[in-house]
Parts: sequence; C-alpha cells; structure tokens
Amino acid sequence: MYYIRVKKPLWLFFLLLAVACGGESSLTPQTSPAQTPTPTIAATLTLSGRGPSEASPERSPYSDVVEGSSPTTIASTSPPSPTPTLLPTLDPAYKRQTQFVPLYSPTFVKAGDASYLRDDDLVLGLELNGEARAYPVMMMWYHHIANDMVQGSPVLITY
Amino acid sequence: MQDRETRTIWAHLDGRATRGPLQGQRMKIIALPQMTWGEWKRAHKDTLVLSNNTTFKNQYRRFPIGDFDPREALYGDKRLPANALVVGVEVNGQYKAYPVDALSKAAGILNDEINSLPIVVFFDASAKTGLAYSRVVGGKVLEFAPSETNASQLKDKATGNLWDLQGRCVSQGCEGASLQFIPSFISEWYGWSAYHPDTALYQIG
Repeated sequence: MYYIRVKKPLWLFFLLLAVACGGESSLTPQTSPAQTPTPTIAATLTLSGRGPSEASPERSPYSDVVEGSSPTTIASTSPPSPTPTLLPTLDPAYKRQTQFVPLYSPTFVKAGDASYLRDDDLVLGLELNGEARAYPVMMMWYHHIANDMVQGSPVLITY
Repeated sequence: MQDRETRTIWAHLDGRATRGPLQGQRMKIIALPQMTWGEWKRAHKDTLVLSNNTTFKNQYRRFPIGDFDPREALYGDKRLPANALVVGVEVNGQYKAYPVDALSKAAGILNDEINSLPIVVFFDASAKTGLAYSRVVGGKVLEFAPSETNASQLKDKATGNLWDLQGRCVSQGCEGASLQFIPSFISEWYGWSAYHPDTALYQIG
C-alpha cells in the first residue's frame, strides 16, 4: 500500500471502522447504503508507484493473497478522481512517497505493563464487546492502520 | 487504503469504498475517542494497550497535534487556521465542524442540531477528548450543560442526571442508559475541510 507520508499525518484519521460482524467474511461490510463515491484524498494524492517495498517483517494473515501477485499501488488501480476545488496541490519538494506498514494481528499488554506510555500521551480508545483497548497515537501515527479482532469482531483502526 | 482480498480502495476518513469491486459500500464507523492515556486507563482499569514491542519500535515518535505547521497551511479552506483542532461530526451525509476553541468557550459543551438531529458535542481539555452524541434518549430530546462537580461529565438539564464522556449515565436511577454515538472525531481543520469541502462550521454566537 502506498501513500504519501508527510512529517505529520495528512489527516487525523482517528476514526474507527468496524467491518462485518464475527462469523461473516470481512470482505462484506455490514452496512452498504448506496452512497455516491466521494473523490478521496488518498487517490488524488497518490503518486505513481514503485515496486513492492522490502519485505515487511510483519507477516500478514493474507500473505497468500499477496504473494505472487503483481505490485499494485493505489494509483495504478485508481484512475484520477475529480479533484475537489479546495484540495491543494502538494509542493513537489514536499512529496515523498513512502510505504507505511499496517499492523496485522497486533499484540497487547496490560495497562500496568505499558511503561513506554506517559499519562499525557494520547491514545485512541475502543470499547467493544465488553473489552477496552487503547491504541497509542505515537504508534498509529507510524502505522496508520491496524487490523484487529476484538472479541470476535473484526475492526479496522485508522489514523 | 486498499483491502488485500478484493483490492477495493477505501477512504480512511469515512470508510467508503471508492473504487473497485466493493465500490459504494461503507464500513460502519464506531467510536474511537482520542484521549490521554492517563484518563483512558483511569476510566478503563482493565484496558489492554497496543504493545510497542514490534519491529518498528524505534520509529515511534511523539508529535504535536494541532500545532501550526507552515507546510500544512496550504491545505483546507481559510475559515480556520489549517491546524486548528475541530470535532468533526457527520449526520446522514451532512458534515459540521466544531472548533475546539469554540467548545472551550462554551465550557466544553455545545447543544446543536445537524440534519434535524439534536446532538451534543463535547470537548474536555484536560483529557484531550471530544465526541458527539445524539441528544435523543428514550424518545425525549435532552439538553446538556457542564456538571458543576466534575469537569468530565455532562449534566442533562431536565433531570440533572450526569453522564460520563463515554456517554454512560452515572447517576442513580439511570444505570445502563447511554447516549448514542454519532460518527465524530477530532481532526485538524485542513484535513477535515479538504475531505469535506462542503462542511458547515460552527460559529460562536
């Protein structure tokens, strides 16, 4: 997955997207109102891609899907979208295409063991199915995406 | 972002599938409040937290949110400074941004309506958290005010019941009641306004 990374995230993406409930394939979002697709910033800002990056040490549960397939970038599968008039053009000197590395099957520790966090650090907090999980902003700023499973519910954390 | 199974392209900001086999579908947005770690673990004593023991451990950095960054001043519309923090709210395809500054001037709580739905938007400066909830509870429309006793609680004016920032009623007699989350999150203005160029902006007064 390719994306432009700037010094600070282009977005404060801390919404949480929950995909289908447990038991269903995560391919099928639970709700599917007929929405008019909106031109996305991700598509309009994405540059033409390079090849796949150095192998990610994070093993994906879907690696069998990815392996053997040709390199794909957002740009190559996404024709140019109409650009919203307010969307500015990136300063070329500021463009730097970087791959970010999503988290797959992330691991967690108890609050008392999180010595790497200070009380004034920011987290994204999730309560789902009776469980509470925190995603430190300083980690999500790097990964942008975490694919997680909370008590049987597949969730996508984006930042 | 792109899913690996179908290669559909999804928008980060609102979970819409914009290109590919699942185009037109949308993921359900659920609450993911930004909050200080101290406040989150105080409110959720059994919480788990993402382990930093990954291959990328040395890449994690603290960075300032909402601080002026001249390179980001290019983005967004000019109604607010690019890096101003807002609570962005969506109700049935209508978008409205509530500047954190305006919320602070209103003691952290604004009662409003979007698309005819009564909502309450809050921001707690000490916990650095903010979200929106529906003000419709049990068929009645509530109006909220700050609690006199606890800065991180909302009080509904009609009954005096107190609600915590997770939307749960904490007063006696209303246990189990909770406010319905309305898709909302804290964003820097440039991102919110560029993605939602038609967004409304809450104006003081």
